[in-house]
Amino acid sequence: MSSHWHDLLDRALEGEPLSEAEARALAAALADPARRQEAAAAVCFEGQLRQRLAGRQADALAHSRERLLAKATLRAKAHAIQRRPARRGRGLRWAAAAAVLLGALYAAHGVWQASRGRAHSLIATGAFRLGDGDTLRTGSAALSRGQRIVAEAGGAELALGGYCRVALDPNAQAVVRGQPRHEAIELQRGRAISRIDPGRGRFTLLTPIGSIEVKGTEFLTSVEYPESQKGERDMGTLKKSAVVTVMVVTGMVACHFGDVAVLGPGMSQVFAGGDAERPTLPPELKGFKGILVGTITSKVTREFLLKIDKVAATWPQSTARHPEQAVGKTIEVVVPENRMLEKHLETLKSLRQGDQIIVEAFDIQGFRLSVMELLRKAETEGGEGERDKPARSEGEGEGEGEGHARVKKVEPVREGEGEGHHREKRIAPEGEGEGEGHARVKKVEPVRESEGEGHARVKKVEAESGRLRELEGWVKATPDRDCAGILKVVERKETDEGVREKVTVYRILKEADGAKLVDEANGRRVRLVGEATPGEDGIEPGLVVKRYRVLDAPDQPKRDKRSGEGEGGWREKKVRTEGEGDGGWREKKTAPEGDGERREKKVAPDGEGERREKPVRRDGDDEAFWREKKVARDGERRDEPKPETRTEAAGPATADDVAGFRGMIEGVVVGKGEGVLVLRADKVTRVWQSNTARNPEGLAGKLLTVSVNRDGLPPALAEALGTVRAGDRVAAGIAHQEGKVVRLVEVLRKIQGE
Amino acid sequence: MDRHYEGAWRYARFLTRGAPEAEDIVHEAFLIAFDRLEEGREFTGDPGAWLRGTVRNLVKTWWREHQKLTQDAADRLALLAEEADDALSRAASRELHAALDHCLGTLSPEDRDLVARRYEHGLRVTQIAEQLSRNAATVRVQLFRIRQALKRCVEGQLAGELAP
Repeated sequence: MSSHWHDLLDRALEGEPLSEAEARALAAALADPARRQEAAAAVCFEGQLRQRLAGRQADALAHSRERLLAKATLRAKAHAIQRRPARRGRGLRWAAAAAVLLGALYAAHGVWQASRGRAHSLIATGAFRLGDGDTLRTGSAALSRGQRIVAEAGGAELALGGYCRVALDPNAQAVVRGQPRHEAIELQRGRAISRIDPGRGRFTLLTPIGSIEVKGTEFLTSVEYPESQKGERDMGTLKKSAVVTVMVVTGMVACHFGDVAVLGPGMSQVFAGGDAERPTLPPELKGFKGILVGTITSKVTREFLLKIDKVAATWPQSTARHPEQAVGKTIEVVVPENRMLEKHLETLKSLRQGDQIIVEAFDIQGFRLSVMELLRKAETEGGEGERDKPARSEGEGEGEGEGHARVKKVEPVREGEGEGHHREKRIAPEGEGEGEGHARVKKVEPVRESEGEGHARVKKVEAESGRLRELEGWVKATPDRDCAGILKVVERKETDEGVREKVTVYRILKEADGAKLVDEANGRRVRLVGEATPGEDGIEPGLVVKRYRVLDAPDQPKRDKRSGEGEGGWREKKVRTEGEGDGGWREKKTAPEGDGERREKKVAPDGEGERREKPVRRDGDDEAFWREKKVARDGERRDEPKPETRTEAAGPATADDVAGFRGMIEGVVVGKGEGVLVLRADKVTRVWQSNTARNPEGLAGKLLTVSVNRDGLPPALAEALGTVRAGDRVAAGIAHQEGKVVRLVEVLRKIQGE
Repeated sequence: MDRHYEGAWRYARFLTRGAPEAEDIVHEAFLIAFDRLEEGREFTGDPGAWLRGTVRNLVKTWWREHQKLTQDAADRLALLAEEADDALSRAASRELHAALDHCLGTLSPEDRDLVARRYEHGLRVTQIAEQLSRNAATVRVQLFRIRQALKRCVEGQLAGELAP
């Protein structure tokens, strides 16, 4: 232990993850005052060593400080935009002003150093284009009034009248205006730092929404368009969406933006064009968290305007009450500045105005939605009754209510699936398949295998009582060793009373031999049914498509068989049979090694030997196939061998089970998703006085969907929640919330050593 | 801001061993400070100490979330960081620098190279291990021994100078 804890300390400070046992060992070591003193001395010595050897790292420090200034500015700007109706003439935070002031000084210093000695009438230097069609110029060029200059990488600088110097940031656009002794530029886009020598003449900086007049000063101006297309030149158009930031370094400026605001040294202000209505977040989307389908009406680098066509999903933690009422409205959506979300920028870049997209978006900022994990172009699909009409097979019915098989999508088939090429997928006819309806995979998105947060989208359609129910699911890859992913399924049901949605989170156990996935929650089974190799079917190289299928009807939880956790009898390697692609997966035991050629033995249901053979699907025999499959699966259900170590699998708790329950349970975390925890209750350890459940002990053995709203949780509970992982054994205080959902209310602690 | 930025930045980098998140952490601390000032709450004590304390708390959260450290372990580390901060904030004496320079000069070329990679160039242990085609644990142990030797040497130097 003597040197071990040093190593642990070193690793912890280095940023390497420690196992729980190691973290405990480190904490225990540091609990000893003598050791902590020793550790502090060692850490301190290392700090001194670093300070002595690292030098000042002036560049890195300066760049880091600049980034802070930029963040402060952007934040202030975002706040100003958020408070738009009242923000005209309102000052920015002093902090942002001070921060930007320093930044401006820093930038200005470089500008003056470079520009010293040039005082011709109208001259541009640096890298720039004069007008759109002009070639890139470097060096210097004479300007004429009315000429437009676009600064390129490295920026450009204008010297006007011998007393005005304007440094343009890269991509800034300006038009030279004014006259001798009253110089002016029209800043159309981007950032400019202006310095005017006093007593030599006047200078006006025009922006789309107003002007800034100075007589001797230095100030920074930026013009941005959060919601318009780059390339607009007409000031009238630009005026509608411009946001202008003015920051004064020295002297005084008069800002004419409707009212006149005079800014002194160190002051800054954000002005916004008020002529056009900026889309605000509709009240029905306040607190929204979910998936939207919509059409892009305009976009800039990170932001775009979205006309909502459909609310595809609403997550449980969403607090928006009637998001569907926002359909038809236009909202602003932003891709947040987050390393994990940078991938969306490329997607956004490839999208065009008029494109229909699917986006997972949360209301975080209050005035617009932020893109989360999903942003992609929507497939061109018609309505439910119209999709892929030309591809319908012969003999099928006309409407979904009639329960006929319909061709939904052509998908690549996994190798070994019986057919080595694309084939048509069908929706099971109503009444066929299992139970009330058979969920089928309709569409899948690529999974980025290389990313920890890759996910696949699973979309299914179920036939139910003459209506179509659309299901969408997300399989989120997790670094969890025992978990293949978290599948979120949103069931969207159209009823006479409107659209009803239900979100279920499943934990998918690791597939055995890449073959089988078993869902823990609700007893429903999902199954990997296909995986396309890169380059197929238009899939980008480097991506892998996985297709999943939910096997059991939603209202008929599968209770008789589970695989993965706790199934001691399933140690054998599982392999696939031919033609498994449509649901008839069977487990086989591989022959022992050294047995010559590999023999496969099917686990046949007792007394069902004649049903061992899985039907192999052929083109053109869909109806027969489905019937055959139904029989085969029924056989499986009845007669599959039970796991040796379990006599009863956990099933989901029903609304009746949890109604009125308030108390403590002990159990195992089966899955953890955003705002949701799935627990398998092993026992009820305490029933509180306020409990009204008739049979609280009946929760034992049930799967509980626990709603966990972090915002409302006490800090200690939120922290505990952060450390809980799937597979942990925990004690939790829960109370019935609604339906079959309970919420975490009081205690959540891990139970060690079990 | 200028006066305190460098201290907070170095402290964040020190606590995170130069992890890329250090910058985000120190920025977050400053933004919190800006908010505080905007709300009219002045710093009663040393703003630099307040900033470093905020950095420490943010790093503690980072330890917990990024490294999955338990609350207890993160608390212990934060306490350690606080003690180290106190010691670090006391300006290093000229004697200490001289002693350090002397002791660095006694290192073997290989050890000196390792120290340079780690502390002059700010490389992480894993990066050094990769560059030298060695095991990270081996590099870590080597660095630990070098530090121990340097510390003993510096203490000896300082004791010698202080001796009558």
